[in-house]
Amino acid sequence: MKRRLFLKSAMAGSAVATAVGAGLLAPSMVFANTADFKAKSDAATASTAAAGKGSFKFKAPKIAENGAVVPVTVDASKMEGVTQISISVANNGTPLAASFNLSGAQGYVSTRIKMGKTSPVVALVTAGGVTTKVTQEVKVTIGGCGG
Amino acid sequence: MGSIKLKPKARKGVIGIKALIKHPMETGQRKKKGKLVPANHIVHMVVSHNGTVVVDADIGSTVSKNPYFKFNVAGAKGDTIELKYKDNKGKTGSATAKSK
Amino acid sequence: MKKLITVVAGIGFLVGAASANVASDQKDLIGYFKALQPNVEFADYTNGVYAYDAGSRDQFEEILDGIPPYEEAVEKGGKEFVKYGLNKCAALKDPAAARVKHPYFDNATQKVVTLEAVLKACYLKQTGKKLGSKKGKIARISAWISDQAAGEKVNVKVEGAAANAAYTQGKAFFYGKRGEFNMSCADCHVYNAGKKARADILSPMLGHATHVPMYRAKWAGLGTMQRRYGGCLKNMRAKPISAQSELMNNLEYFHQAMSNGLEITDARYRK
Repeated sequence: MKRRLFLKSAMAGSAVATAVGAGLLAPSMVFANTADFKAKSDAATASTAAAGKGSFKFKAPKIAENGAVVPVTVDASKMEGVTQISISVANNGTPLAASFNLSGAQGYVSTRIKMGKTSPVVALVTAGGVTTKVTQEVKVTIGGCGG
Repeated sequence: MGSIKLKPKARKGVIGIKALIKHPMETGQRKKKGKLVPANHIVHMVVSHNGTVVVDADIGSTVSKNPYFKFNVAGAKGDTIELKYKDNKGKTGSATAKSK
Repeated sequence: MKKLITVVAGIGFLVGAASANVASDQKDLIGYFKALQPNVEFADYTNGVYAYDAGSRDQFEEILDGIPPYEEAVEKGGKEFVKYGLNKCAALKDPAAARVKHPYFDNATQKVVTLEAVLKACYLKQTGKKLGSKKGKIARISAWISDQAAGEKVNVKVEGAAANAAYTQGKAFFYGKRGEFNMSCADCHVYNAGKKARADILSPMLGHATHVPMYRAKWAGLGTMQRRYGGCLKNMRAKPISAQSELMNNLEYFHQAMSNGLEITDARYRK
């Protein structure tokens, strides 16, 4: 498909990463009418590769109590001009869990995600045109007890 | 679709918006009794403060069942918060609440 | 502890000294847990395993700080309490008092009466229908009732020979070996509390009764104490025992008595 080819060729020159970084890869812009989530996930993955380490807070458990409900919080409220926060679970089929475009809300998001197995979880924050990341590995175990 | 619990609470000039949406968030990969449960999850969500969009989110099936979100927006008690969502089947839901 | 088992063996029927058993049994247990985890205060046991492990406590607090997943179910339970006329039964007129009172030993019927038993009886009287003992409606309603007593202290009374005998049977069950693994409840929840069984941290039995019915992430729903008993017996590959049977009720009687003095809480989320 045209969009996939665009991504593949762009990745080489990290134009996509730049596009994401500049806040250009916003919903319903590059990907016209329909929100093609898988493509957004690919874009986030590309962005993760290009992003430098962030100074924001990313809270996720080291060992998840229950893989179906893993609480995660991204707190970039001390940063100026946060325009986007996204959360990805690297080892999930489609890594991107959610992408929040902020246009007035503070740089803060808290939610609960599903994880099928142990995986790094990546928080991406775009502020002032620059995307940075914080990664945390979350262990998911299968419990034994409790009826 | 599912009900939405929307709890905005103002404190020191910031409204903490807590939301819990009742939704199965099926990935489309889970099997029940040998059959695949079709994908059924929220894909898009918008949060507004006094009529202005402050959060525009693309949501995937990795978000937990009965998704919970918390956002912060500068504001005061009495401000109006609205949440709207749409799922992959085209169903929508919305809720409005005045910040406490 | 060996000491506790000796006490069980030697009890017999102690008229008048019945309450003293509860107090001294609990004192032994508190002392044991204090030695096991010196930094955990008695009052902390309301939150059980979360008082032991920081990582899971963080997650517990995140969940509570957000909107707890059981909130809606408990609210529904409150509506159902009124809808089905349960507020009309004398025993449930004051829901907070009802939570604190049960389980108690009814001298008239010579049996331990649990809150769930009262709910079932009242529901039957008001609707002519039967209510389950473990999950769904009964768990919701019981959880709502328990919420009304949040902040009050657990206060199970064991007075008189017959009550003492029921308590003793419950205690014996708790410390007795059973199932394919030949283990007792105490093996996990006393002697190995805080340690891991596969990926689960074993919760201390002190405080178990403060947050029942509980929401378990594993169930993705609410369940009564006896739902948990049933599940545990199954895990231990022990013979199943009917919920609300005399044996299970006596176990609950003993079990809750060991949480006397701890605050009842509405934070009923567990793994």
